[in-house]
Amino acid sequence: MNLYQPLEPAAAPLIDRFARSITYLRLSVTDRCDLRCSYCMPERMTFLPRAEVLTLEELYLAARAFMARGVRKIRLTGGEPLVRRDMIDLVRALGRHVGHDLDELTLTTNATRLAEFADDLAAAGVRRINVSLDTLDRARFATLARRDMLDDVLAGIAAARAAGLAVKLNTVALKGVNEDEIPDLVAWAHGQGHAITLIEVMPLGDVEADRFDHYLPLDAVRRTLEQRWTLVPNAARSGGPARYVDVAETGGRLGFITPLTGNFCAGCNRVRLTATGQLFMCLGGEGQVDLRAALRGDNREAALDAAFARAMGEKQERHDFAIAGPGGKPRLARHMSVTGG
Amino acid sequence: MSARLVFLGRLEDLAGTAEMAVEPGPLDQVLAGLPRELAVALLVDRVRFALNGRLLAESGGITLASGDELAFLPPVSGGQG
Amino acid sequence: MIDVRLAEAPFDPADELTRFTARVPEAGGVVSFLGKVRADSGVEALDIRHYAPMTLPGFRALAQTALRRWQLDGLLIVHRVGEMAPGAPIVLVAGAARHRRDAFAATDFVMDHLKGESWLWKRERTAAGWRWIEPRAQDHVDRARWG
Repeated sequence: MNLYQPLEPAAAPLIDRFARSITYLRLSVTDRCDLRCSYCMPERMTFLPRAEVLTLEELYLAARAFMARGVRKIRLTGGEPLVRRDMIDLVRALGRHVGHDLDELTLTTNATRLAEFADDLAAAGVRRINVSLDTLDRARFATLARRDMLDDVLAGIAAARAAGLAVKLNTVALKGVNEDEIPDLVAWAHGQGHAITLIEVMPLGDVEADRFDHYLPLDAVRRTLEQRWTLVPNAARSGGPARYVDVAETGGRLGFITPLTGNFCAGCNRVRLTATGQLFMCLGGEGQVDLRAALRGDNREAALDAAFARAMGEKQERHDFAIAGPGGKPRLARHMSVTGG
Repeated sequence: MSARLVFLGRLEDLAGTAEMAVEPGPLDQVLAGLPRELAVALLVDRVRFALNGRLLAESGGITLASGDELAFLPPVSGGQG
Repeated sequence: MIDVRLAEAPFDPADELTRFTARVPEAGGVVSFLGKVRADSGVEALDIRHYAPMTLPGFRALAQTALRRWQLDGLLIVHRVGEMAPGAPIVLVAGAARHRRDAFAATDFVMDHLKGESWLWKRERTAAGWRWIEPRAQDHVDRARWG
């Protein structure tokens, strides 16, 4: 496949049947993680056999196929992307496309390995990263993540800053866990020059903690924050569910993601590829297309075209997120760690 | 992860492909794995090399690492229309 | 103001020029050059290939050079890549400046260097099939006159 030469314009853009342009690929490079956050992954998780996971080469070819069809932004996710061996080679290869085929290459990480890789990421062309961080309290971190690694995380964030990477924190709001800490987290983040986004619990996968028990509606959080600060709405949109405010007193940006409410599906611009090459068109839906078969079979180009066509024909109009109630089974059986957030 | 060779212009016709995944290693070794006629054409004076998008001043002593991309750039077409 | 692009689909030179001119209201004049695929000599199609990591960055660097050398309010470069038919626009270069000398010189400079130095490979199709186009001595002469 001649991936450096553009396909005919008529075949090129990835547009679904609701006329949404898909320009953003979230690419999971592994299902493994060095943490065990109770809302994401059970302690005794069965990990995917290596043969089923796409090689770095295959991930690169898949990314190139998406770029050839108009994807302009790629986010590397996992599991924890930096635990995958030699991942930085993939980052470098993709980073070379930034400035022409790609507007942005970015990464979501728990930052445990960021101190080791921050300079390499910046050198490879990554400019901004998202760091998942739910608490600044070491004991709480150890309980929540089931690993005592907050020091590594904070060192990682500092290294990212030193390397010139812009850091945005993603914080899952958990009732009874970090609820009281959220204003301090926001204050700390903004004081460090980082944006922060609060995420309302999303019902994905069977994990040990009862997800409904930790459900903390963000409008309650927002009211608490509004007692302390002036939240000025910001109209910025990213094609996803986040809604933004600027906090006047801190000068920082604060985002809110509430997947169960709000009407953000009409502007959706993204799809997710798992580490095994399954393409999910919607985080809140079951629909998937097998790209691994296309990548590993004969006639890769034609097979990928066909898979893309199917995906665009099947991407659902709205997500299916809902939790029934306490003890309720999540509607989606898939773990967050498989598709990434 | 493989390294990658990219063939531009008429070199693509000669190679039969626009690009090729190869095992990382010293360039000599990589070229030794190619059909002789192609390898010779790549080493002709007027073909420039670009490693990871950067033009190289010399072609000697290159080692391809995992994920690297080496492009072979024949003389550009210039004029005509 | 620099606007430098590769166009993978046909572009409308008149439209581009109108939009470029509107963005440089302070300029005293706008000079433009349009290169087209020759519609003679049995050429059925022109195919222009590029190398993404180098072609557009090379154009941008060329535009920067022109901006340093002349007093310009704006510079536009739009260059087709891919297959195109006889008569189709290939490249549009426009320079906007307070003084026409700068606009003419910069546009001429950019065209000479685009011809000779761009990381582009072209082949044309005739009844006899595809043939890669080799560089000409004239291109070198054209560039040499700029010192």
